Amino acid sequence: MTPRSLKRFWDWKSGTLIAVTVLLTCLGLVVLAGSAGDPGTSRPWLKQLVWLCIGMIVAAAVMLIHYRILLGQAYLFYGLILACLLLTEQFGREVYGAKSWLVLPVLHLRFQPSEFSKLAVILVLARVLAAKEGAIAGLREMLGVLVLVAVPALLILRQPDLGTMMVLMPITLGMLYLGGMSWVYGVLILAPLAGFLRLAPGTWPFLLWALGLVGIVVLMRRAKLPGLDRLIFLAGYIGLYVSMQRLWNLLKPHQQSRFRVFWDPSYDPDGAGYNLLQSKIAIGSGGFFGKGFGQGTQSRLQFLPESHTDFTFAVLAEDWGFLGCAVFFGLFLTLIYLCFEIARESRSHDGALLASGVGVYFVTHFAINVGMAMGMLPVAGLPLSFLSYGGSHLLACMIGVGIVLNVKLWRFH
Amino acid sequence: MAFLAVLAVFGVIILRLWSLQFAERERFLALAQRNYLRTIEEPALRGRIFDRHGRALAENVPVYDLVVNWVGVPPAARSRSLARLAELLREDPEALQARLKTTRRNLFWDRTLNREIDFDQVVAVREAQIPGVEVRVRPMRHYPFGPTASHLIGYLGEINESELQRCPGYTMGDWIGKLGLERRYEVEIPVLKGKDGYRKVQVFANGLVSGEIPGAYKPSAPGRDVWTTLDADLQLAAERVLGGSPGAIVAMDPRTGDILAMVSHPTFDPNVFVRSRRVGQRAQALRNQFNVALNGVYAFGSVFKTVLAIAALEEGVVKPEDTFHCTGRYKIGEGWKHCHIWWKYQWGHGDMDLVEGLQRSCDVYFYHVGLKLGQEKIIRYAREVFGLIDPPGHRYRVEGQESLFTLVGENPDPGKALKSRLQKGPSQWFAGDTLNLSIGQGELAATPLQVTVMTAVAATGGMLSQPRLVSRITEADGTLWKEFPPAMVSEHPLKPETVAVVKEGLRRVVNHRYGTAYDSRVEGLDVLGKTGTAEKVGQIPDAWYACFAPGDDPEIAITVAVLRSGHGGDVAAPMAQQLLQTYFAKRLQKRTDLEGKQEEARL
Repeated sequence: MTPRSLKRFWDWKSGTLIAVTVLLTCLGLVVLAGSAGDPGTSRPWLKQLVWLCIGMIVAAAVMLIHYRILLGQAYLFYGLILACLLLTEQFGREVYGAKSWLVLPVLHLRFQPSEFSKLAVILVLARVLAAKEGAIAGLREMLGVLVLVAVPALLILRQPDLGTMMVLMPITLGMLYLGGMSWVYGVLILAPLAGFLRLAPGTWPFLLWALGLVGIVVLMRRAKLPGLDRLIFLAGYIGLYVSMQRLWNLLKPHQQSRFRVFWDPSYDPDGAGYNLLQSKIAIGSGGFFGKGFGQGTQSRLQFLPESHTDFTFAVLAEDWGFLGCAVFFGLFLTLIYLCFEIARESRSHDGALLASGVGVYFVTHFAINVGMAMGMLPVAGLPLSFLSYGGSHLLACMIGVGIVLNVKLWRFH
Repeated sequence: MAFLAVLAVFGVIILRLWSLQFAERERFLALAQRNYLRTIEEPALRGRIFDRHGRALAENVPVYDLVVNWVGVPPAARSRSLARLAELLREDPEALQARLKTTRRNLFWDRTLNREIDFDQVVAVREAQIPGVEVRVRPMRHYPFGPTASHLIGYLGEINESELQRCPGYTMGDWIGKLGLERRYEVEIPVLKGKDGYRKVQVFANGLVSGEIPGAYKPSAPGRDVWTTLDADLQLAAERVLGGSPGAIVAMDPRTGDILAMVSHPTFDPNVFVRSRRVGQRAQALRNQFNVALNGVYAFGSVFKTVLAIAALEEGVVKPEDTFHCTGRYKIGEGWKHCHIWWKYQWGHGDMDLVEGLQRSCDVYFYHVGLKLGQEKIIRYAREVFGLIDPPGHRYRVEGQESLFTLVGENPDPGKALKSRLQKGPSQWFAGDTLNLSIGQGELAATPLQVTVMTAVAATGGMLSQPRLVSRITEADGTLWKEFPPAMVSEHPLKPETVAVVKEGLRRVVNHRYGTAYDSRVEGLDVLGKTGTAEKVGQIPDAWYACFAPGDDPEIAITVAVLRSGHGGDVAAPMAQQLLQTYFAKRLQKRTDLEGKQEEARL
């Protein structure tokens, strides 16, 4: 690193990125301090502050190592994470029914390897996709990428941590798209999800599904897909629909009821629907100005479960209202914009993939968590970046920002 | 392009947030409030009922309930707590667990396991300090004198369907007065209950109270106290005197109409209706609710002769010195009407004047008087001057007991039979009927309270006082809220000669050795009385005795009615004697002391 490169690094983008990150983490600490939290955790915001300091040091360290070196060791990180996931499966600690915690024996430090697996996937995909140099014409080219994602995804699914697993899918799709994949493939990969229509009663869902079938056939013809690909997508589209009932039965009852709550918000308000209902009450009752710092009855009186982890957004919306949410959205949107902007001005394909991958990572987390808190997506345990209590995720986010700054710093080398 | 998709995602999220926080805000605010807002009822302390000297006849005492509340107690500790509690209560832990499961909880997760536990259990539970197990105190109605005057005081019970429809502001499960003063001064005149208050609090999701909501406190207002005219000592004495015989004793101050004592037997303990552990005794208590003194209508025999004597003297149909000869029987038409002496000795009283006729209760003398007066005058005097014949609620009411008089309407009207025969015309009324009426037999009937009022009229020389049970109502702090001063129903001043002669006759009933109540005289006290024996074919007669004392300045009028027991002079009069001795005990003591001193001085 030379003074010249530092001078090039230091412009409004990097400054704003750092400022936005600091503001987001500060906002997170304030919201955390205002939420009642878990009765067993005393002053979670203080612990979070400690993690934040660690995160800053790690992010600075990540920033200083040239991303090419990081990419060069991508498989090493990937392998390490896989090993950690395997270890978790064997020796992990179970919290809320998911075996996702690994305790470091000497340091008594516990963390979630699954949080870091997302970063590892981004690294490894950036390397693989950069090597292909935009030549992703068919499923054959994507096969390696899909296998690389599927291995950690399956391990996380076994924990079971449906939420984290779900985040991997949009990240992969996003990176494939940024790596040169046609949007048609994105649509075709997501299309089999229409199979969920099988679970809805009546004829209309079936007609809708059939319309989708016609749609993808037309789409495949117009995009001139290879014959094998067409066959595979058709088989996937029809196969998922046919076997949906069986897959549904594979789900545990509590997972099933989470989906049911999503369809029907009034379902089981004391049980499966409780969390979502309380979250919506907290958000809705916040209004425009909110109830004030620490004044939200839903979180302070502990009606809102997981108020400091998965449902932090509800605390934000209750205490600070629409205004607070708007500020948060603005900061977060700026953060994502800067990720893509830095990716755009990066002169190397791999650097761009890396930065935009982190951007997709933030978008995904944000959309799934907030969407879930407002009842737009099924409830899945997933932290909200920078706001939720939890060291692993905060550290991962800081590393993510470090990677983006890294790309910015080393873009001329 | 990619960032446009991100913007789209943000747009959808903001739209959703907008709809939640603006379109649906009111609904979610209400739901949030329903989550945390709890209203704690603060029931008002019920007003007390006192006797004339301020002794509580109905009051509120603290009772203790055993409550289990698992809020804040971890599941592992719960089973331990339950085991310890089972040991303490000497119950099977599993049965206790099952009982707890079926017990309904309130809004604060309280489950009341046992109600009104004994005090040593309170101490034991409090000392044990079992997590999740508490002793809660609440006020409960208590009647310190138990079965004493219970017909008048009444009792409380849970509100029923018809009361719920009639009384606004009550909800299912509330308590309400069911009888007597407890009912009268809650249902008809809302005095005793007071006004319930409430507090509003915030609760945690687990039910624990977080804090009070400022400005949302409405304190309860305690009920007002009802002061009766009863004298608890006299009431107790009267009950003791009557013992186990079915019947009634009424003691009244003839000057004011104050009811000093009113005993009705059989009686019941009102505490069984409020103590949950005495549920089993309620059925029996319900059977004994009939107030003999107030609502029991009976023939009262020769006590009526006082009325006849006064009417005859006032109308001038006989002079005090006029005599009639009693041979023990009186020929009327083809048959004979007998004097009570005939059945004993088969002869008569001989020549009787008015004073002696009263003293010996000579039937033949009063046959003569009755025929001279005629039934119309007899009934007019009985009704207008003495308040008899019409049901008591018709001429006068007892302040505080109107609700009970309504029951009289369901009883046969005591004068109805008489009146209906009168209306059919004179051809239906035979001279024999007049003879029956003259000695208080036949259709004539009255309640023990009416007989007391009648005696009071004779004692005061024609003043019919409104019987009074409640003298005043005060606020909980003692300030006067409403007063019921003594009231007069009617006044028919009698000639002083009439009163003097009749009083002489009544005086000799008690104080002359040939008087029918001579054995029941009170040494040192001028008691005037009249015995009565109401005959019924094939039954032991009802014993009656009506008296007042002292003769010249009456302070108390007492009626004793003992149903199916024997002769008035044998059964009823001795009871009144004992009661008078109790009532005048202090003055009689002083008098004997004075006489002793005079004796010493003379020596």
